[in-house]
Amino acid sequence: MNRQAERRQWVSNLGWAIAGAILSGPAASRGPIKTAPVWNKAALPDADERVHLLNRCTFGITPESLAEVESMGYEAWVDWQLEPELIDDSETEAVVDELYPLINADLDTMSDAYAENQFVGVSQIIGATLYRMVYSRRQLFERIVEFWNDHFNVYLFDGPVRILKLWEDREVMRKHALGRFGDLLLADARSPAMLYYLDNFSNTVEGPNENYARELLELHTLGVDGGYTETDVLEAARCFTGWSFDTSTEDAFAFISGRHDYEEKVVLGVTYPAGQGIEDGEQLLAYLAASETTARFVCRKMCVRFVSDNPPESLVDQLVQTWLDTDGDLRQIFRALFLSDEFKNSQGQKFKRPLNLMVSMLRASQAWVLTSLTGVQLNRHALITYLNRLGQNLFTWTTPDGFPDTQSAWDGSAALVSRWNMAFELAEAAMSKYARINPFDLAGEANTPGELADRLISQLLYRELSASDRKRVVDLIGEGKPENARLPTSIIIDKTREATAFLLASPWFQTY
Amino acid sequence: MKINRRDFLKTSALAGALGACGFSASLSAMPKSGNGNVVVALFLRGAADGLSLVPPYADNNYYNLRPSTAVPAPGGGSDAAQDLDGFFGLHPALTQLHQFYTNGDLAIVHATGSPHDSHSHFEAQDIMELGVQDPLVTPQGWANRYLDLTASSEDSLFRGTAIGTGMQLAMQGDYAALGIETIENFDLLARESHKEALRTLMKATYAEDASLDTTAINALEAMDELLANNVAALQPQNGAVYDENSSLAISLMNAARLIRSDLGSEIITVDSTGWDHHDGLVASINDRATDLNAALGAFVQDLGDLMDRVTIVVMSEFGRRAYENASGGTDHGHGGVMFALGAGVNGGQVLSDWPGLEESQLYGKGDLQVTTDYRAVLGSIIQSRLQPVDLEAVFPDFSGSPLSGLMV
Repeated sequence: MNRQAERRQWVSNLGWAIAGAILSGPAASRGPIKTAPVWNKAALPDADERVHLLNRCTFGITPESLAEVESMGYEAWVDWQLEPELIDDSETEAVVDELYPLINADLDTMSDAYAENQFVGVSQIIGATLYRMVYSRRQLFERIVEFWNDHFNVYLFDGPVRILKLWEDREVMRKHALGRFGDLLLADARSPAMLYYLDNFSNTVEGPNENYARELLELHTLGVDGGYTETDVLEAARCFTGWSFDTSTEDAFAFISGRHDYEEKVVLGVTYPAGQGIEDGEQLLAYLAASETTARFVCRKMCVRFVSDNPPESLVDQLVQTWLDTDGDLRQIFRALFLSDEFKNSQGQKFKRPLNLMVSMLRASQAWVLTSLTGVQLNRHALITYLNRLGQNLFTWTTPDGFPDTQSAWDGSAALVSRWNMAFELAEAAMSKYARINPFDLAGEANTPGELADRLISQLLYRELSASDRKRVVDLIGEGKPENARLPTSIIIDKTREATAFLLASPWFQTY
Repeated sequence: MKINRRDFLKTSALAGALGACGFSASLSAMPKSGNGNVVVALFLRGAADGLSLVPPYADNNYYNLRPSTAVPAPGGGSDAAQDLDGFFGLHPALTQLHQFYTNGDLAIVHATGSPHDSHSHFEAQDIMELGVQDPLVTPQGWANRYLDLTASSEDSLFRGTAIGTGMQLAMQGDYAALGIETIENFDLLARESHKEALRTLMKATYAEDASLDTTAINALEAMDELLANNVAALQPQNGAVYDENSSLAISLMNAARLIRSDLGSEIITVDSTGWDHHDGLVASINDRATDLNAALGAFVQDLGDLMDRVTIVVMSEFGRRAYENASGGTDHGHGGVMFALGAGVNGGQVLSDWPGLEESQLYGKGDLQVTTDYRAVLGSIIQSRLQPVDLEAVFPDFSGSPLSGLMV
């Protein structure tokens, strides 16, 4: 089967018709940042810096992505990826349109679809997002969109968020992902999904609801140590009284003046005079977006996502400076991040989050998914089962802080075992009803233990291992035979599965 | 001939010979530890509303502050509270808990929580799980610290077990606690013909990883013990039925299997999520309370006589604001409620230095005060049930005493 045909299989399968996915989401607990993981550097040679770049800026290296960065060079690749609107991704988007028509639909169409089936949006946003993560050529854009979806987290299964998230992902996150932070913050504050999820739609002068205002200060801008008080939270909530949504309007936002508190407010020492309406909230958002405290909080978060659980302060300082110099131009800030020495020197310091781990397994192993699943509930799909088991099915983090970023949240033994098993079940064909690798493709022309080990190490890890680690892979394949012993095809295929299982489960793939 | 660790230990008195094994530093030597007693620490994530779970129905201010969301006083119909002591009631969905209370197995502590002022879920959860007031004091969770302080070379791998996909912060720290989602999934799902080779190779490779070595190797060893004891085959006993759609019920079912298998678990942490009720409080607390009631009921029934070794403590990061908001919900508050259930509990009583709900009696912007530090509750349970330990070391910046009267 050629690659295109395989892709179509993936595709038609991704039209998972789903209803009522019951999602289990026991919280991966959060914790203080622990010592950053560091590979045993002596035992693992550094990868090429372009491989490191792809590891962090894509959802997994493919031969095509490596060819792109090799032909363009490191910096040009970063610049190319940071202008996603100029990258032709029509093939991916055509599939998204075909399989997930609500993704690009207008609000009326979304509302009608939701009225008919409350879960139709859920399947489409999860399916489309996964599809883009695996196939989009705008890989860095997809990673940055994921970052903002986490930063401004809403829980997909919270009432109408099941449909409103589709609009928010497109009109807030994707539209402003590489624009100015102030625009993104304002768009998010006006987003119906956020207005619903954090209850601001019911925040009124008669009965203020402080949920959004608190998380705005704590999670979206200043950070919990950002110097605000309980009084600031209550005053900020008063600024947003009357901010609600109405899906019959063009951008779904509604300011209901009769619910607004027109008395004077003071937030963080700034007075919002009596008589103002929607300006209270707009001015407060602009103030927060321009705050250096916000810049530092958000830039550190970017570094924790893309560099290290304990990012170097020098890099945070540099990004904050870029933020202040450019009025929060996110494209420039991300560019500075990926071109920094601190980024280049951070190999092995991040532990893949479950979703990233899964997608990178599929990309690295060129796996595909079979077509026999139509009608199967999404949560019965083996891949989704693993995401649920690992606590990272898309958009299902229930609390507004978003999926955690640091290793300690994901590396308990329960999670580690599931991470290994995801690799084992994929490589060993145990989930072949759902997703499978092609061991013939993976093995290529290799027919000795040495050749197969080198081929798989290079195909899956895009790097060299130490001599002793390489020997472990050779011995796993050869079972004591010399590394240049010729093996029969049946053994090669069996050993391709076993060695792929091992390499995808190894710390060299799980950490990056 | 292959010798697995259990066989080796059974047949050899030469524990010192373990030194020859490359991974002995991260392994425990015997599948037993502690005095046989178990504490299950259940965290209600999202800030459970203590005023709905255990309404102070005889305090009139409660009804003034909650005109549309208060739980009616006992006798007020099917939605009304179940009486506890003439002052406090129990949420109507907590029927099993009411039975436990009546039987003398359940004690309730009210107006309790962390004295820390935080109204952030995340900060307050962290602080409560660290067992401190100042999170800079330690990055180690309170349960982990207890295990660390009382660790011995005999410790079971299961001595500290966190149930769930992630490891609760209370269980994180220097002591190598185990995380298990479900027993069924805690195995290597490779082809049988590859399993042994992969297991060996995973062990050797992860042993060299600077940050995952202990977790990985303990997991591989724990798998062996679960298989050797056939734990996955254990069914709920005594007619207990767990709701398979409830993650809390599934977690407790797996906790019960570990306890029944006698693998040396001493502290088990479990989570219940979804307790953040900014709107629609009445319906959403009813849903959560129903789940909590059914899951705890099944757990107690399942364990049966084994409950004489097991104590459950239930906590949440803080309570909710005393007055309701315009959405029929409540915003973040301060004082809340805790439950202690099972072995050693001096049940059938609500322990509370009730601070009152008059405006002048409220904390900050209108919250129930904390008059009993949650660490006094945990400390009392640890002191009564677990191994001797210096409680000041477990809770380093807490100077109070264990709550007297909670335990027999």
